[in-house]
Amino acid sequence: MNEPSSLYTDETLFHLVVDASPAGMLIVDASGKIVLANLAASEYFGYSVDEMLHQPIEILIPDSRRRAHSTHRARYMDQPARRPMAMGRNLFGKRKDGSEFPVDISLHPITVGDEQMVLANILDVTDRRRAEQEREQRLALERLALLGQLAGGVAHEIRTPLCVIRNDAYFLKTLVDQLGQDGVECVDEINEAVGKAERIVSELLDFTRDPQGEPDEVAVDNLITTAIRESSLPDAIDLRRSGCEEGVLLRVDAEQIERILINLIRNGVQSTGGEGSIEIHTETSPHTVAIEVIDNGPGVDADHLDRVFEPLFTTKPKGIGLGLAVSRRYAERNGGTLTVSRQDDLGACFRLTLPRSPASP
Amino acid sequence: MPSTHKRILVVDDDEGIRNSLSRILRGRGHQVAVAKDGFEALQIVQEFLPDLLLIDIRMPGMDGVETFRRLRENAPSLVAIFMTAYADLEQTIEATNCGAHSIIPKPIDVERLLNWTSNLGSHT
Repeated sequence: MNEPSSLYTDETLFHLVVDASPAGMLIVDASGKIVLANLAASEYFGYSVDEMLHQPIEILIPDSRRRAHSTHRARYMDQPARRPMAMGRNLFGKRKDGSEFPVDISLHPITVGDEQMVLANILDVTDRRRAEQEREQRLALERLALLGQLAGGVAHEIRTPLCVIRNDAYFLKTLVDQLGQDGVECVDEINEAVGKAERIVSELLDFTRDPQGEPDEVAVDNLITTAIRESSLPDAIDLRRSGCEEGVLLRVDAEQIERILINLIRNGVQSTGGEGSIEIHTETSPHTVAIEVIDNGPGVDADHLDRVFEPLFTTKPKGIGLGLAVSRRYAERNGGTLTVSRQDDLGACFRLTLPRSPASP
Repeated sequence: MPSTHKRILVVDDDEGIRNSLSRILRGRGHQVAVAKDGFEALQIVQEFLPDLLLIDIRMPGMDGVETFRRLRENAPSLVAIFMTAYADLEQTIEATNCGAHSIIPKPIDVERLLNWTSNLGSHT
């Protein structure tokens, strides 16, 4: 077959081919100046072809990466090699108007006359990156949904034998005459252990479920009273309430906020080793209410302050570290925040802020 | 005045649950029959008419709500307490809608169950 020789020597045809490419094409000389730019490159970067010619390639690189790019370029020109696209680098281009966009670039060393140059093929991959992000988000959601299903099944499978254990412990306790003191203590231990196991299951379920709350007008003092009652405080704990709770109304899902407070109180009890003091202090401002749970335990380590709300993070030998993650999520779902601070010599202070009910006096 | 001793039918697909619950309930003087699923429950009531149905809300095959409905066709005054390991709002609504007395989460608060059971049918 006869190859049309003009394919290789016809300059007009050359320019046609180059400008027809959907990829942006740039040829850059050894000193980093642009010596050729095609139509697609002009469209991508917002410069006319003439504006790009003889400019340093760095005008097309985001400011934050310019210096690094010069170094890379120098290194490349030392040992030029073909570098295919999508080699896993996170590259960005900068347009004339200053905006940045993600790109894929392939490099080809070429010789023009006796000069060493580089041909760069550039693709705008904004769409592809967005699609990748959306896919990752979808996968994360699917994984969470699957986790939720799994958690439900696991909860059921664990709660059933826990139920049997608790039932049988109850029955054993009715045989108190035959049990003796040790036997009774055993039964009490069994009940305590069942309680702990059940709480872990609940925590896991809470974490995976993320239920919508049902906001209602709720009185702060009732919330705190209920939470204290449900926390089953050991006698050795000295609990104080302070601040202005009375008559203050919140617009929140009562059960979710109670869960947060119960969790914070229980954490306080654990930190003080079951004997110490916990203070629940309420402050109000025009639109928000802050409830602080302060214990006189060792406090949260300064290094851990920003990690305690991470799921599965725990410094305690027991528990699976979901309580605070769930608590913070509930706080945010109800339009509030949950933070922790360290009070030197005074222990940990967890601060829950929530929106006040518009009807609040 | 209604007797504090009741006739109770325990329906749960887990043998441990059936045994442990019936042991406790019998220890309190109640008469107890057990069934492992809705079908067995339907057969048992032909010879044992319960006052109270203590039943798991989610079972393979016929679930708790369906079983309760069917049993109630021939025994309109039957009271049901649903047990659940899931304890979510959806189930609570389901149970309430079909006329259950209450729903109790597993692991069960035995004292609470025993109180409810003794007080069934009294109007205090």
